[in-house]
Amino acid sequence: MGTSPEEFSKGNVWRAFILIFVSAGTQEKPFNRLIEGVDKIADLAGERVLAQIGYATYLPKKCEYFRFCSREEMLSHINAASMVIAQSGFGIIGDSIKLMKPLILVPRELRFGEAIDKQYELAEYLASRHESIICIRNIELMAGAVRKIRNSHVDYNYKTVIPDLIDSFITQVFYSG
Amino acid sequence: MGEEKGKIKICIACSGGGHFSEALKATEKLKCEKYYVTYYNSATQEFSRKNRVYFITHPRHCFFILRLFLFIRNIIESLFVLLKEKPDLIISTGADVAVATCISGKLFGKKLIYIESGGYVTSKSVSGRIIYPFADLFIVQWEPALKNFPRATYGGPLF
Repeated sequence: MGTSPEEFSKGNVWRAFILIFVSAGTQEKPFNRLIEGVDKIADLAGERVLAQIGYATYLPKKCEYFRFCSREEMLSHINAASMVIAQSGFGIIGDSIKLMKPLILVPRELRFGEAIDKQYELAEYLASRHESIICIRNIELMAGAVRKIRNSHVDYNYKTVIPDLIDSFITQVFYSG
Repeated sequence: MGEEKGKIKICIACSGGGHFSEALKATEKLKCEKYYVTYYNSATQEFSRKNRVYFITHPRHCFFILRLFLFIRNIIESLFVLLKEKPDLIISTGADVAVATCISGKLFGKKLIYIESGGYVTSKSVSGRIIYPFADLFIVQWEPALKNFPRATYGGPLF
């Protein structure tokens, strides 16, 4: 879609259409462990790797990257990707699930100074429920996770009734009787 | 019915990051008069251009005495906004910045809906733990969280 002619000339025609999207989120603490871990496997992955690195101080050598983008651009990167590798943030998880993408979650760890809140709880819960979500807390397991998740079956089906719960609460409390 | 619901005023109180987007997803379809109480960051500042937002002190994690001071400021500001706006209902997705608004709201006889943040599945958030006994409606986003909050209602994730 948005492929530039340069990419074709490099002989990367197939690569331009298969993409692993990486997201470190917008938390102010750098998440270098994720970016370094992805950079290490970028040439093994056999796919184009694009990383949103946020406040990371490590700059990738083998993959394309940028720091931040708008929400619309974020959604279009996720949509274009064959899989998403990300911090275990609620936002990126929700967007990837809505767009039915296989997902590798790397929780930010308090002990490495990457987080202000623990992130692994939701990642581990979702990983236990879906074949297409893997939670890795040891970054060395990244290559294996990418291989494993590539052809996994995606079966997300989440709905929220929270707006309806609020609506009926209001009706009941303020407008009945 | 939708018309009539416009008469009540809702206070939406929460932190400025993930909690804020969860709160927006939970309340965006409500037709009532709404205002927001949060702390200042680039996202909430952007949001405040088109919405009524009060910025109050964030009792961020820091040295104990300073944190206590920030909390006291947060409580005073929370009370000030509450007494000025006199909402009928407070909706919160939590974190420390919203606790004072929730509790003082209850003390002044307002209704309170609390939504436990989606990041918590098997453990409880600090603000959820504090507000659980007071909330008129306590919603969790994941089924396992019902074990921690037996009187809660399951609502599904706010994706």
